Amino acid sequence: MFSNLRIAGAIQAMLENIEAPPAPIHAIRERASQAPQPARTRRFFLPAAAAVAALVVIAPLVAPGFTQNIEAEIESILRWTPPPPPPKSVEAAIRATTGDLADAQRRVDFTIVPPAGLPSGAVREKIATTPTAVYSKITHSWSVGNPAVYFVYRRARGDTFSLLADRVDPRQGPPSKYVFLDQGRRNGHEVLERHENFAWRNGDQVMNAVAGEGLSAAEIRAIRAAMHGVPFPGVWPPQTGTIEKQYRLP
Amino acid sequence: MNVERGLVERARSEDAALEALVAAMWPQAFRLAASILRDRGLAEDVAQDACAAIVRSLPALKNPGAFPAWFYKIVVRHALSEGRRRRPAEPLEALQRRCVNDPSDFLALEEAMASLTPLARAVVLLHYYAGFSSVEIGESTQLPASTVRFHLMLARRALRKALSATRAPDLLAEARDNV
Repeated sequence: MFSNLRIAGAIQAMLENIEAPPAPIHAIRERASQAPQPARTRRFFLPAAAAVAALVVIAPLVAPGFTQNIEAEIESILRWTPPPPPPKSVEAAIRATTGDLADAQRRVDFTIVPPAGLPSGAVREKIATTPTAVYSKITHSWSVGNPAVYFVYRRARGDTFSLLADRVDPRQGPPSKYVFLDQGRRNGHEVLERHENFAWRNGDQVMNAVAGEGLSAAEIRAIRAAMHGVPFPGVWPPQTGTIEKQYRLP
Repeated sequence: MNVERGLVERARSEDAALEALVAAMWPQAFRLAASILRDRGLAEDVAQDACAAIVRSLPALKNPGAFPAWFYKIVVRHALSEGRRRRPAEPLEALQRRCVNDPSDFLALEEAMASLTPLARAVVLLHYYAGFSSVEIGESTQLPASTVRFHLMLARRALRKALSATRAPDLLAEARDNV
């Protein structure tokens, strides 16, 4: 118990050491007299088809009751049955490795074409390479897939955005046109917000970006144009062999 | 939080009391928001919004004695809502003055808190600072109590890990004893 008391004391001291500005009483009263703003909650984004599966992937990392509730609600929204959680061996392999572009290139088997035409003031925060968890809809089993590369940037205004580079794989099917932002719970129900998803090809690389998460659709189109990226066709060629669905940790 | 019940009651009808209440709760609101968001500008905005929501809803508060718990819930909800939307732009060190008592604890705690998510920071603050139970934290964060306990366990683990790398051996030993 003593350690808890000590931690509590240290936290209290930490807070007391934060200098608060003078109380803006008039500004607060003015805000109080206005109608309340709508809740601006946005937890995380998940590719539309992978929304439930990604939660399944995360499920072992968070409390079971919480994720099961979310899974059930998202399942009912998307009318889609999620795959089972991946085995521990697959889970353990899904770890991000940060480094520079050369490090990332050494870890992937496609030629990385880095993002270009970024919004002014955006600076690269990190490049992370993460193996993917692949679920086969034919064999109903999980395996560790090829790594993908996350480019994370910080904007001058403080928020961040990311772009995901992966190897083009026809077995994946066409990229999702939309992704869903989890807006948290309203009236006891999970709320998903639809956002436009962009994917384009450069050689054997596919780059993915989501509008609304630090980047507007116009800014993403500018990046795609600067990279001379080729959009994917709306109609996907007929498939041969095993069709797999790939899920990534956020 | 040290706010007299009488002040809360008077603030419902008296302008001067309302201003006194805002002045009393403002530093706490700002510090909580700053600790969760780790961004001074954002914290100021969120604390203003939270205080405005409190002022607006004060007449609906049935039990003035429950004001401190109600206050913490509103501030944390506002901070978490904003935290989900934005990323921090300013390190916490910029928010703090130099610690005069125990720099090792302070730095260790700063490192530990920095390693946590905004939600985990909120859980830690509500538990260790506001003295909330896991059920009460669950009401504030809209999470089941079991999930809160899970976050608290992970946060404790992160705190211990960070503390182990700094000059706080006694604290670490106590933490180990308490596992």
